[in-house]
Amino acid sequence: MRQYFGDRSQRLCLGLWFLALLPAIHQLAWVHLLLCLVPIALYHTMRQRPFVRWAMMGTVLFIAIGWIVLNGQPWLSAQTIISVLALVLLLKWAESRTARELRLSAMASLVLATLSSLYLYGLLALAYLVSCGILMLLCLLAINDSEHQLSYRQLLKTTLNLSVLALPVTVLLFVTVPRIQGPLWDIGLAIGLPIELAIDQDARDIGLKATLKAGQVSRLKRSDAPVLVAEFSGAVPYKSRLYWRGPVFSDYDGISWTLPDNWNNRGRLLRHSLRGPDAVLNVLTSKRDRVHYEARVSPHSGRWLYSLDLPSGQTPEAFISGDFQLLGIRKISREFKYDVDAWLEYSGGIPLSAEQRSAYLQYPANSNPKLRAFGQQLAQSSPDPQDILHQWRKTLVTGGYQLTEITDIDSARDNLDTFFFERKTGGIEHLASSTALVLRAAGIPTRLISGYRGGSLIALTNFVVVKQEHAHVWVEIWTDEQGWQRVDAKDFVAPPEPEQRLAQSAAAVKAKPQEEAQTPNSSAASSASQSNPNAKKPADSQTTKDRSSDKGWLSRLNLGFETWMLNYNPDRQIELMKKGGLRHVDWKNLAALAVLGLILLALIYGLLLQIGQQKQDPVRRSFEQLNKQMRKRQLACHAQECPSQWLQRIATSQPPFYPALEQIVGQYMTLRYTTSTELLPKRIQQFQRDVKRLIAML
Amino acid sequence: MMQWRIVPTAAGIGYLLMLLILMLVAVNYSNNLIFTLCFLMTATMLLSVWLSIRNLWGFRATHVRVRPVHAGQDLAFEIALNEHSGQHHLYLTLSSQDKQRSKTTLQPFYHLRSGQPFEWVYQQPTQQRGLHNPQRLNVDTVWPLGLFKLSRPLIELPETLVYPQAKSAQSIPETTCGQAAHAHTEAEELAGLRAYQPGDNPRRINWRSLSKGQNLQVKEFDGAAGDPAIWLRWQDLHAIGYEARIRTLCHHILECQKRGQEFGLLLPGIELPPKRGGQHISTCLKQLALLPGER
Repeated sequence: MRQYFGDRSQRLCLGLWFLALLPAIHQLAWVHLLLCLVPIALYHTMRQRPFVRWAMMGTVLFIAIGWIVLNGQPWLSAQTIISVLALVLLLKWAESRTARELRLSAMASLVLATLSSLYLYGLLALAYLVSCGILMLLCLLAINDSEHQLSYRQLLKTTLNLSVLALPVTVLLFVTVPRIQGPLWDIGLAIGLPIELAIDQDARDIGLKATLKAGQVSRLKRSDAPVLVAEFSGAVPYKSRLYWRGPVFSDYDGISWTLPDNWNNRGRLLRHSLRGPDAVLNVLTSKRDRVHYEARVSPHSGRWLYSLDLPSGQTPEAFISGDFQLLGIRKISREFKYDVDAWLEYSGGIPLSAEQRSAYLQYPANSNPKLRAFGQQLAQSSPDPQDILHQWRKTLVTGGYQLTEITDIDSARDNLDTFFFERKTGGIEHLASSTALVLRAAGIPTRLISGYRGGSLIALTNFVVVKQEHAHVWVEIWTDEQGWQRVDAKDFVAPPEPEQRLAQSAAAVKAKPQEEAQTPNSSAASSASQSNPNAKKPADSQTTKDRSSDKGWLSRLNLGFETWMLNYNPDRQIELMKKGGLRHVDWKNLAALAVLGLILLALIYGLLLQIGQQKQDPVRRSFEQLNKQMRKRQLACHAQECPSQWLQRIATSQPPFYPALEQIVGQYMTLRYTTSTELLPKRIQQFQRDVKRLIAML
Repeated sequence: MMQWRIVPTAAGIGYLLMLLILMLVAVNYSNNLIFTLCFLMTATMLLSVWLSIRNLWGFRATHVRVRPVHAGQDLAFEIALNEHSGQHHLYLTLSSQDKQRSKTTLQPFYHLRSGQPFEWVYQQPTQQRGLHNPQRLNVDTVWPLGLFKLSRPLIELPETLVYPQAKSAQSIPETTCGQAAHAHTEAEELAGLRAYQPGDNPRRINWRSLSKGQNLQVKEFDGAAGDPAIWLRWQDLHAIGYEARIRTLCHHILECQKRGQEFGLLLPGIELPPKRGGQHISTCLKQLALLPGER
């Protein structure tokens, strides 16, 4: 092991450490920040006196850990991990005496940088990570350049060359390496580690309930508590097609959706259940895309098993209710397993009684009058439910509506009017409730379904983990011809924006009432927008204007970055591969594609290597070709053998070769050692021809 | 046949561990940016192999020269190189198949700058007298990132003879061989001609025969006797050990050379008549070096 490295390696490694800590520096307690200064200040003393080194390292670590214990900081929190890792790395840097130790320090600093990057977002995070990666390579290069053969500039140039050359391979790996979705906890769940689905009792109170209020689902979406794990037999369908059915609501009081009072009565539920293996199939008018899966449901306070829409068949200890919910005979107080079939696309149901029809058309009095008026307007335009539905979807698409993850619309009586005609941004429950009320006002029997949509696909497996963050609400409408059919308004509005932009828009919304009070024109615009849902709200118009004016290369770059880098997930990977012509996309095919791509790139790099070479001396090349042939006959001219000596050897051992070789060797020696350039190209050509002729004769 | 070898270094294994940690963090947070960094670092690792190949590519050794040494001294192979790629080649090390000898000393780094003539000196310690078998010399590199060690054969080092160590355990014997050496300065009458041997006085070369196209000959004269030629006998050193005898004889030979004294060597089964000159010295040292080891 070499015991020396340049001082610049030390400086670069310290720079890398500092850069790695920079985004998370606010996470460090002031004591830890002060402790960081100690190894830097006592750097030379530490290196000269081993006792001081060990004493200082022990003291610094003791104080750092003592501070964590005294403050009751959790050991596995990000703050603790980053603080301790940063301090340990700095101490390691200060005491590094060999190149190996310094390399270790540089590599561990990159891990610290990776953890710190979680505090950044978007292009900034990418630029930061790439900078850290390049600096780490620079450190490794400087450590290796122990004799200072390269200047700083040359080191940087070599590092950048290496990074640029690595880009095609990076892109290839990014696109083709099978993407495993985390968190690692999910993978543990999926592969069957003995992990209980619900961790503590508190988690059981989180989830869908018998009452649904505005803002409830949005709050639920902030939790990542697991609801169920499903293992599919065969390929997993697209996540957007997975609707996990929970409570089905018909009663709305203007503020919240509620289940009937006796909804939890087991006797009543069983009386109205669809019993028998074909009971569900018999009431369906159409069905498509059957799947089979096994599920483990985490314990909660209800009976819902959150089966995939629409369940059919039978499973022990469970039954299918009249409104197609898979319910447990008992409450799900322990982890529950079941396996059933499901139809991803369906329509049908038991014909409605007059009482049921009336319940599904119920519209609370003195609640959301504008929505009622809008529904009635739609009904007047066409009596056909499908036309009304079409008009509704068109309104959603053209109206500039947007879902948000955090909503600030109060649970007041007219909150849906506020959402639909004023704000145009709200939670999924606002959107679904508005849809239900409009369609009811238009005379179409409608019910609201709460549950979950999608899930986290564990790549390389057939497992899907559904969490509270996948909570969703949608609507089913009844038509006499087809029965119940699903209507999901979410697919016709803009998705929520990333958290940062959301915070900005929230700030804008708060500022809006003040602006309205100051400018009468803005309130006029607001009232105008109330009468017409298609009129875009002023803030939106402004945003759109800003966006259109901002449509330069930067916005396009940002859009491409978000689409193809930030949001590149297993679904997008599969989609891209299918578009590229790969019929069956699984991890084996993806891995094979990655390996093929790497081989292709290796060939290209190999060609570059050849191109980079200067042309070999043609005389020498021809002589080498001849020697190669002679080697096959055990008569090669050795590396340290003069051609004339070689000729003498051939003369004694293989006399028949002598005359031909004598001429060639003579020419070779003349061409190699001549100083005359007269007719040199012609003589070289003649020599090459003679060599070729001799090789052909051999 | 060119045999390239590639093995990960300790730093390479550490780097792989770092990549694994990055991958786990990326998976855990489903963070595409960390995936990107992880793949970029993986790509640079692969590309560093390519750069290492380029570092070893494009030069060849044309010939090797080595000077005789005594056991305990370093063999110095002078290797002439021909660079034809137009690239710089940095941080190259040389290693031979003889791992024992390669490991004993820290090999220096060699650098090749394009467009310059090169000659490297590869030093190898010796411990035992005798013939050292031909060995393949490899050129290695861990440049640029130190993650992989690549090596390829550079040239076949020739068979080398290592003379015994010269160490006197006894003084030079006074035993003469019964004939005096010729005292050239006191010559009187031409006695005849003999074939030239290296070490002969150039003044005694018979230029006339050379001008007639004959081989080089030197004149011999009758005259007064010079210093007597001595015998260096194996049997005279019976008091000391086997290898010590060889070392002592070696020392005596070098002493005679220094003094310009004519000597003969008597070894078991070998008799080298008294002579002087470089050729004679080489022959005597060779015979000593090739004596079988002690049984």
